[in-house]
Amino acid sequence: VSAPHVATQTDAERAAAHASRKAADARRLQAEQEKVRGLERHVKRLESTIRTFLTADKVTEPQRAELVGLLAGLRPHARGLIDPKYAGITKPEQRLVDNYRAMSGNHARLMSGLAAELAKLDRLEEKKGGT
Amino acid sequence: MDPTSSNTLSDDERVLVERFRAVTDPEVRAALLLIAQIFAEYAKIGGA
Repeated sequence: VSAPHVATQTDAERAAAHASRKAADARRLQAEQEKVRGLERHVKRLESTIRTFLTADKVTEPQRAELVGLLAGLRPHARGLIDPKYAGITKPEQRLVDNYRAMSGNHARLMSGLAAELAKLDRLEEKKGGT
Repeated sequence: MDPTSSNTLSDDERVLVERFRAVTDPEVRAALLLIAQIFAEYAKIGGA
């Protein structure tokens, strides 16, 4: 008499576990979608800021600060990217190249232009500091 | 990290690395790395 009861309970438990897994999957999917939307928002702001930066006649310190400030909120994600102990092609440089290879041509051009402008700005600041 | 691995870089990759090396401000370097990371992640989800 008790055997069918046990079987029914097991079915119910199985169904509950299945429902729980489905709910967890749905939550994970939603979290992933939110992450993607967040990333899209970041990328659009980045693109816009970088374009402004690259098309400015002369990049100013406030503009540079704006770019760095924009990224400040994302700084925790950058933690661990810079590891000064490597020489030659450093770990961060390798990662930079890996990411550069993975990005779209449009973003690769933006990235390279931005690096050039920031390097130029760096040299100007160095000169300013040296005089 | 093997310093000779730079030999495997394409011209534009080498230019990028040289530009990156020319940036001395650690915050700006971190920002550049982060931008590269974000653009690469974005490409993974199909963004242009």
